[in-house]
Amino acid sequence: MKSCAIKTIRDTCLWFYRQMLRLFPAQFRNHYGFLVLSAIEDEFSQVFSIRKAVGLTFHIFLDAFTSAVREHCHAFSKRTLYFRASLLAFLGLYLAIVALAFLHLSNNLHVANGDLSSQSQNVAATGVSAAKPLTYTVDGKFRYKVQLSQISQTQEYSFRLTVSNQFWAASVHLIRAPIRTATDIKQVYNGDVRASIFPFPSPKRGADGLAFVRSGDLPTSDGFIRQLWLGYASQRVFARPETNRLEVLCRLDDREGPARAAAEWTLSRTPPHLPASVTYFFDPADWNMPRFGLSSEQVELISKRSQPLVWATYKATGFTNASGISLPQGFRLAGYESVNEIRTGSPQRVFELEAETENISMICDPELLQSRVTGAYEVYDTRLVFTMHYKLVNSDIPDRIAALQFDDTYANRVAMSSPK
Amino acid sequence: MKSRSADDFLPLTPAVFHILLSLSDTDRHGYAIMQDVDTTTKGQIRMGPGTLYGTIKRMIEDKLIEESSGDPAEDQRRRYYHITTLGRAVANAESTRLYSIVQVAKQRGLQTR
Repeated sequence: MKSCAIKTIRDTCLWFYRQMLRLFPAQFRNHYGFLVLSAIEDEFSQVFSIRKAVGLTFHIFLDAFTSAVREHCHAFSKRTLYFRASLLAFLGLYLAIVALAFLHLSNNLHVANGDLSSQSQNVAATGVSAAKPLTYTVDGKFRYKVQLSQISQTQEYSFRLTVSNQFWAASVHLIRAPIRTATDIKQVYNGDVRASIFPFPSPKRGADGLAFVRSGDLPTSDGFIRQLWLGYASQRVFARPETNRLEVLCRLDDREGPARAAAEWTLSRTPPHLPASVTYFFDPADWNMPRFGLSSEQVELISKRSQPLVWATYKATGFTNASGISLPQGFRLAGYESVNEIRTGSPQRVFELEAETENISMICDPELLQSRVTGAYEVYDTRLVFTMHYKLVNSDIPDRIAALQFDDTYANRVAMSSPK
Repeated sequence: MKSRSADDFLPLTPAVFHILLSLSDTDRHGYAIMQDVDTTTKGQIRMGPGTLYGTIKRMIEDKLIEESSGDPAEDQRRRYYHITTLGRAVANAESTRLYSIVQVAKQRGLQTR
């Protein structure tokens, strides 16, 4: 009888609170309304007398009124702040336009007088083109969570990524390592090759680390650098007149060569037009299905689906506007186990990478763009048909194929084996 | 994008400080925070659900706490919260501030236990 009365009080309280949620700002209601109701349910689960249930109901309603007023005050102050910030931004923009107009005028006067030094410096700075230099460095951290059956593991990393026109470099450090592992990874694209550099925590096999040299401007997925590159430095890929296929973020099978997945994406409206969201689809025509352990029936099921299976989703959590360019404030990338979706009808998330931008500076980090190693490195060079395997001691990673065989400027290089 | 220093947040409201204290040893969901605050303050501070989630919302905006994935074995409806490095620094700074006030009270002959 008593528990029945308490249940009635609880249900009435929940019903009224559901109505009272309309008093709260919509943003709060949408995000926290469900959680507030769950907390009320939890609170009632610990109440065993009618007097306490009535007391709790009064406490909850009083709290609802005060917190609704507080939330509205907070939302109002934010809007006022936004208005003030907009006014300041407008004034700043106006002053910047005046200053730029003045600079442009004075620059034109210099050129008219035959002073071309400023133009030639600009070309040298960009390396390959006279376009306006686009340079920035992003510092941040990300959390990678992998979920397999009942086992889940989370690791936190910090990163630095720098972009100078088409050149980019990124380094990733594991913040809290559960075991002593190789935790620092650096990857550099210098306009010609990508060098991935993995120092060992302690020397192994007479080497201080490994380096992999490849052609092309797409990073490899080592150390999550491809995921960071997608968020912060992939503008060149999205600027191309492209079909609806993208290079995959993680290698899912051991096929040689690049793999591309069907994808849909939206881009930020402001330069450098980085992706705002990307959805990768599991495409039976593209993936090597038997390697995933799929039966022929399952492959057929996937092929017949009207809606393709989602393999991974990327979403930027917002964009900054620093010096006229928009970079993500962070992003969330989730991967799904497609086979489970066929079995159960719902996708199962197997990994999640959540990145957060901590600092942006509008200059590149030249130190990071150096693909130089200190110590003795085993190098796997895959730019030829066969992989060259050699050792490099205290030197730069060679940036031309010819340099591997004929250029004696890399005098410290010691051949370790003939081409495989 | 430069983040605020810990001292910029001081003094903290009791709700913020108690939520930070509650999350300082482990990740908790909303109701667990309410229970922990109720226990540690011996019922002196009793946060309602509206106050709790309003405070949590602002603390997430200020990057003092963040949502964490929590224990997958637990109820999937629950959302867990995790104290950030900044949040921990702010809690430390507030503790130091309160401690110095207690020291002043002691020096002036006020009874402290």
